Amino acid sequence: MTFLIVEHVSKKYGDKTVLHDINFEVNRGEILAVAGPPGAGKTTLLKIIAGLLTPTSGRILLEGRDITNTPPYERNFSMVFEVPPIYPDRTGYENIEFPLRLKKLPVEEIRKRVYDIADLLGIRHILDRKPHTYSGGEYQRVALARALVTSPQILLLDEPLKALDAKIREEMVTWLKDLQRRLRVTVIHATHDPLEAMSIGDKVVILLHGVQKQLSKPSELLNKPLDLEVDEYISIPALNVFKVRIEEVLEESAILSLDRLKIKIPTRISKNYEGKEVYASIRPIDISIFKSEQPGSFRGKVVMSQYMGRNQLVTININDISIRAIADKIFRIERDDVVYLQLKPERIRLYDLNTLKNIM
Amino acid sequence: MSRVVLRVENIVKTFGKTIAVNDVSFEVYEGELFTLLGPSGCGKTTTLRVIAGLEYPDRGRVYIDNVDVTDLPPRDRNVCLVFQEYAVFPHMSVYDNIAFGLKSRKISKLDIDKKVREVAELLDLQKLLWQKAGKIGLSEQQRTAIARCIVVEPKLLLLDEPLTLVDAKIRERMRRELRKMQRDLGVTMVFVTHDQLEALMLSDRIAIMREGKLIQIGTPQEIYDNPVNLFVASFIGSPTMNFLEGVLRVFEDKLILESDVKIDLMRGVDTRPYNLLDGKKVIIGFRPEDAFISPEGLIKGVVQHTEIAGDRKIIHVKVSDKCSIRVFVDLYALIGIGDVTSIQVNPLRLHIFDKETGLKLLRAGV
Repeated sequence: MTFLIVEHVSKKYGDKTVLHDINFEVNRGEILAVAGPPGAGKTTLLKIIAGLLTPTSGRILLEGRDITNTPPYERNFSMVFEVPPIYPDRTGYENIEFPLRLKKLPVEEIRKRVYDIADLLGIRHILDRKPHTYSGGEYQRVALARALVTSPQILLLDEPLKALDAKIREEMVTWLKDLQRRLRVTVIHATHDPLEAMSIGDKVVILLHGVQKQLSKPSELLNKPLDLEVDEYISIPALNVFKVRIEEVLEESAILSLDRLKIKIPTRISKNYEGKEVYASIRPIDISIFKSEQPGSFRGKVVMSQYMGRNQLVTININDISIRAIADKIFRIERDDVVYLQLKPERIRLYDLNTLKNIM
Repeated sequence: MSRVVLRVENIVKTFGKTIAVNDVSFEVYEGELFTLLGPSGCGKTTTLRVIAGLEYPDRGRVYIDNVDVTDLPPRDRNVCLVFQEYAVFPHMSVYDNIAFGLKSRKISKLDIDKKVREVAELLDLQKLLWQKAGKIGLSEQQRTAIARCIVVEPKLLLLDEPLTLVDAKIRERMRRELRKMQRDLGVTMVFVTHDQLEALMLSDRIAIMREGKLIQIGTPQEIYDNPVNLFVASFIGSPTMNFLEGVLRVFEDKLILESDVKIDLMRGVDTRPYNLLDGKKVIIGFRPEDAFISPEGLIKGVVQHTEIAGDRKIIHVKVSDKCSIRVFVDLYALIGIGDVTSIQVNPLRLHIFDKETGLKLLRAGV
């Protein structure tokens, strides 16, 4: 049986709809990532699942049972926030044992559980210390320990890594994923960072302005965003988007024109698009830069090259079009250099001009 | 070499018992974007405030255009500081915001108007001049704050983490705009950030600070390719450099690291440059992009995790209990958890650090 079902969930405040008809399922032991920019409705959705908010319509089912109106303390879910409320005047131990004390468990039982979870999370050394001595990563681990010590059925994480430095966040992503695999706990992880979502989630829900845009595995999400908004949101560094004309629709391919060049891309699209304009998108990594002319390449002029360590992000102007491409770190490039760009045809995606839906 | 606009000489600044800035010296050239980079508490913001005149150093001098300004108040230094939260007046129009600094200088209305319009055009704000500054986008607010600085023609523009409060997505675009504007206007900028990628993308040169001390100055590429110690090596670059700890053994044709297992670092190469390091406790470092999956790879391991890093996929390969290595694979590559694989490291891009001191023992690319 499906573990958790979110069914037609909507939430309105007055006449403002913050969540429109959200639907997804989570299996036991899975991590579902909910990704969306700030204000997309992620926290509202998590709070509805936790029981802290009631949906305007729709249901939440746990193992087939409707829990929409079950109060939070009877759900046995735990939620961790971006800046979790850890009591500053209490030690790590006292913070972690707190929810168990509320349940009035015997002292011995509490001690065993606190030590077990502290060992698992690698924070035994800070059990005697107060929060002001913790690093950012340790602080979040104590919050997680407190959330996990009650063995919750579902762990809801609302941007738990946002306040951390990039370096520590990188370590925490790996660590969290590893921990989840060992505990087999079901996790719903909300984040504004699409890359974090794709790294952590077995499945990812893309939430944009309250609308569930896509629910896919990370690899599917990358290969086939369902609409242009999703493609733009998940692509970092920023996606290139052009208006192109479909010159000809063939059996297994389509020919489109961009600037003065024609590009043949392997795809099956509706014959209706022949002669029409559409949006074409391509990621900077899928464009190759050359110093000399190549078959089917665009000639352009370098506007700027931004060094990123392992590679560089180059902005190039082709007549009136501005394109961003990724070049290798050893590629020598200067402002005003003339370069030739090759777009990988199989990495071009097409979207309808009006609906923005993927037409491939 | 261009003219030196700013010279910071042996600056020391303490707050009570804390030494915030500890004997820091550097020079900034005309038209340069110079970045002070480091983790929070490293002294970068204090250094910037000393330059601006908002803090008085315990020791050391600050020179702007060869004039000692250490004892001058901020307003007489001809520098302009842009803070983290852009100090635009939200209820005032963009025009009035830009004109603000000029009005206090007793310049004729006609001249003010001319200057404001000139700067607005440079920063592409001419269409927004009559909008309230609180109602325009963040990127436009940033440009307004900078326009207000530039209009008074400062010798130096100082920016304190101006991009940290905006969303990652918008930040990428703003970095590009800021860099382009700085180049087009030819202004000299000192920029403070804790974000290493931001520093790499924006700067002509970077100064890395830690615990009040200046650790390394160089172009982004110098710092990325040749970090002077373990701190810089691990602070710069995302994902982080791979580090393997052990005892180095040098043979005629191979280099081996003795950790909890023996790791073959390289084979069939001239190992003479490494001779002096035989038997030394070291930390080997190499960046994820300088290693690759190859059937001939010397290091064997099992894939533990995969994660998506935008344009590539990162796989974490467990080599032994103590050693794990991250390498990049193609974004669309079919490689999964549990797969056995072998890794080849580019020998020219191996960094060797002293385990005790953290200092680099051998430059990469010997």
